[in-house]
Amino acid sequence: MDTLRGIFQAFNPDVKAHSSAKAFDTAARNYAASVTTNLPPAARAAILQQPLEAIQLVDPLTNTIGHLAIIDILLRGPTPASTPRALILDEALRFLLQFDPVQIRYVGPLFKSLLDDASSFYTPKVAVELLSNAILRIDPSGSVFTSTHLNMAKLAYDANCIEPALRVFDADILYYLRPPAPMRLELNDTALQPQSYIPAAGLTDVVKSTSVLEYHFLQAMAYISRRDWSKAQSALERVIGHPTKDKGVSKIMTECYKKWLLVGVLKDGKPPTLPSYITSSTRSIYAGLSEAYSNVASLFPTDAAAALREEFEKRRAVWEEDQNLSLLEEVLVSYQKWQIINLRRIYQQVSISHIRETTLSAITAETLTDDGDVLMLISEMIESGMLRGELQIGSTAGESYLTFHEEYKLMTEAEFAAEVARCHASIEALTKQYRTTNERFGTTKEYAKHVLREQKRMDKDNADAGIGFDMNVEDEDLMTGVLGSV
Amino acid sequence: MAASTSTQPGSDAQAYAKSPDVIVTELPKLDIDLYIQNYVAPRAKANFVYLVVVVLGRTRYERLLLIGKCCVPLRVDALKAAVIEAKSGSDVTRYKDALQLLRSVAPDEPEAQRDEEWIERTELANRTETARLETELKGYRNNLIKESIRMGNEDLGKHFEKIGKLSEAADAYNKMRHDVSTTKHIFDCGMHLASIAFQRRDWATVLSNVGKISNIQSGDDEQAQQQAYTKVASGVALLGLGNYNDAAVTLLHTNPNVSPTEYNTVASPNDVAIYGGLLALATMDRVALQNRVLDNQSFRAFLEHEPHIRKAISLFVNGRYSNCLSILESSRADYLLDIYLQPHIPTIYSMIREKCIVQYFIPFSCVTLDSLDAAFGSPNRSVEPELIRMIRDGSLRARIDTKNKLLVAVSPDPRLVVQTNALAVARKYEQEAKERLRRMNIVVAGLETSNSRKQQSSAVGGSEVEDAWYEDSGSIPPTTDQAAEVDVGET
Repeated sequence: MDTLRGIFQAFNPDVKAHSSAKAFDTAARNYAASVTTNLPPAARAAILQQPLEAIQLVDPLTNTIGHLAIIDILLRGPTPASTPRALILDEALRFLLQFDPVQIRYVGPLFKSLLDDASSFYTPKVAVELLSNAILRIDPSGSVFTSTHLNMAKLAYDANCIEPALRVFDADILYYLRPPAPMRLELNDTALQPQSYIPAAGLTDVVKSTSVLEYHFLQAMAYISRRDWSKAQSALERVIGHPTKDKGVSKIMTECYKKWLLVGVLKDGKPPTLPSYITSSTRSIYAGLSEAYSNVASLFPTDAAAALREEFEKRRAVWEEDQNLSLLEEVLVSYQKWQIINLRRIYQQVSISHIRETTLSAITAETLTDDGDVLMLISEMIESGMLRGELQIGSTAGESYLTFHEEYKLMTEAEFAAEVARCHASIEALTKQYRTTNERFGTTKEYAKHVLREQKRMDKDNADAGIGFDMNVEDEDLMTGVLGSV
Repeated sequence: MAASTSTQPGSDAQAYAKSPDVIVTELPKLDIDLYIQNYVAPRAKANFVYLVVVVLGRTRYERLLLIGKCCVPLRVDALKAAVIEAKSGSDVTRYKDALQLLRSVAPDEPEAQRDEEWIERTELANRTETARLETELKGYRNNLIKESIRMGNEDLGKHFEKIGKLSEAADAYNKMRHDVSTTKHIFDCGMHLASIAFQRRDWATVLSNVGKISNIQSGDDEQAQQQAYTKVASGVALLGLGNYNDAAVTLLHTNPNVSPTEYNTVASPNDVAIYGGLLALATMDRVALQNRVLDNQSFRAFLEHEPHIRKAISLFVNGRYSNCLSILESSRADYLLDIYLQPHIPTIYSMIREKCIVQYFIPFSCVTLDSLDAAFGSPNRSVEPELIRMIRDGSLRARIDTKNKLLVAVSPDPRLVVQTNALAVARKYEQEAKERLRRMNIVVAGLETSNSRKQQSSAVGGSEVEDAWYEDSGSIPPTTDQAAEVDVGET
């Protein structure tokens, strides 16, 4: 045990104890190597024999490197029967909630493997919580895509526990990583951006284009299951707008396009428009593969409830095959709701009986039979925030009136200023990110090649053909021409 | 408002024009109303006389036939006249058509008897004439005299047009173009082709042919005559295309000092007044109507032919909308018997009506539906459905309050508008900036989806980026510093 203590407490995790940040970096690296790859087999055996004492050796918060090494050995090695596994798992849990985000960079691969296995150690709900917590602890902005993201999304969607994953889903992913640059980084440098240290510390596997697509797809599905149409739509847009090469469109993208049409209809009550950055060839591929869906989307804003219903019945097999049946049912249900919302453009106040007569339900393709049902539908819509308005209950349901309110609420100047300031700040932050991205791109091999090529081209252009016009001709001799005066 | 709506209803009208049968069955119903029927007969009779007298050429038959088809009180007279008209020419098909219609309406009339002898004689004469002209033309061709070839073609074209072979006529007229030598020839050629296109209702061809002759430079007198013809012809063609605003502007510029014979193969001065006045009423606002129609010295001369159009326009300008509408309504039957106006009348009338409602509503912040009904509705029909349609189209900025029976003007809070717009722009900008950054990073990491398997294997790994990746533009934003700098610069 004393040898162990000697090994594990050899490192002083306090930054101030080191002469410089660089010294800390070197020390941390050496320490990380000594407790993982260079750990003597005897020490490993000692840990496995006395798990409880080993865990007490170092504190997870202050000495994350050492603690992770011990946890890892305990989780993977055979522990004595006297120590219950649950105890070790509890320790690991405590560690995952408390680890130090800087020190963890020195034991990245080890930590990643712990995260990868988290789903086998804990129930899905706990695992999702742990993963999302770990992701945001490593990178508080959540803007770098890692392989852990995908694992978490899969787990959350399969086990249907979206709630704990939302913090990660809501963060905007901006960076996708290339394999680490060969140069050595000081991992404890506070100015280091997550997009630099995450790959350098080995905190992610190499990601493929399919994993990016799959992640956003799962993200969208999670939002769909929560009926958060607007977030679902932007997630789907990330998939369908994924950059393509050689006119290639993957299956997952076309599937998402179909869902995107339906979600757009649910969100805005009319077919959505594709973002401008999608190429025309991709557009035509989408259009060719999703005729049934675009029919439904274009029928939605019209009065043709019967046609919509017929389309739904006729293509039932298609919906089932694409697993979009429930989404389509949702569309049919919301048809009448959107009809009512659209009435706000015509009426200021309108009676419930009038609404009943003028709007059709897409489920039956007829008007509702009872004013009471309409009243209920409208009060539901107002409660859910879908419709901005007010009900005036009369003596009967038919004599009740609905008053439409403005689509947007007037903000006070202060609220407005705050909102503008928020936008300003976030655009400001983006500007910085653009700058760093710009620098990053400036150092790529491709850009260097491009600059070289441009230079060559410029040189060629500048080369003067024959006599230069730049030449200063002071006195031109008409008989001999320019040459005469030179 | 006028400019934006002028094209759309026109397309409806064109669809409508393809099935004029609708009108044929509807019109008698309209005329059942005793007052209107009494009014239609003498008015339309006058029209009828004027048509025969004023309008020349082949349109005369067309107009007669249309009246025969559509107007119950006049159809026997009109068809009889059409038969006679056809018989005085040499187009056998037209005779047969008119005869058939007349027989179905009034089989006992003497004109309804089929004149087999005339048919045979005319057909024979037509054949010999065609053969003669063709031989002559061949002769001219062999002699290579340009002017004779041109005249030969012109004669042949005229002949074909007379006997109703329109496509052959168009071919012959087109051949004239090779041998033109003076501006007059160019003008004739264009006019012939336009005339054929008119008979085929091919408005685009009319416009292109008229366009070709409208810029010809010639003497002052001729210029004025040509101007009158080109304005009238292109005005009518634009009307046919449903381009009401342009048609109105074109017709308003017609020179009134030119003798009507220059353009009455297309329309009479009365027609010019009706078309121009109605279309201006449908598409222009009050100020424009005052300045460009009522105060327009040259168009005033035309309006004198049709005083009630002028009355309607001045009523509209003075804000007496229901009177204006009732004048127009009383002449509806006449206009429905016009060959060019007929398919467009429902659209033009509803446009005028809508404008009246919109104008009526402008000074008020809210109006009771009852007063609107009193001004615009008919006894058994409320204006509410019409209002709903107009609000839906966006031509009327108002909301209906069914509880208090009011039409309430929409007065958007400018602060709210500014706030929503500002925030929407800011969010959109933020969103787009993020998305572009994201896409650049995807591309630089080599994570695009790829088509061929081979490239995919290299792209997926992420380590290899094709040398030419920055060259294929397309959707991918230019990933080098330019793109980044542009966006940064905007912030």
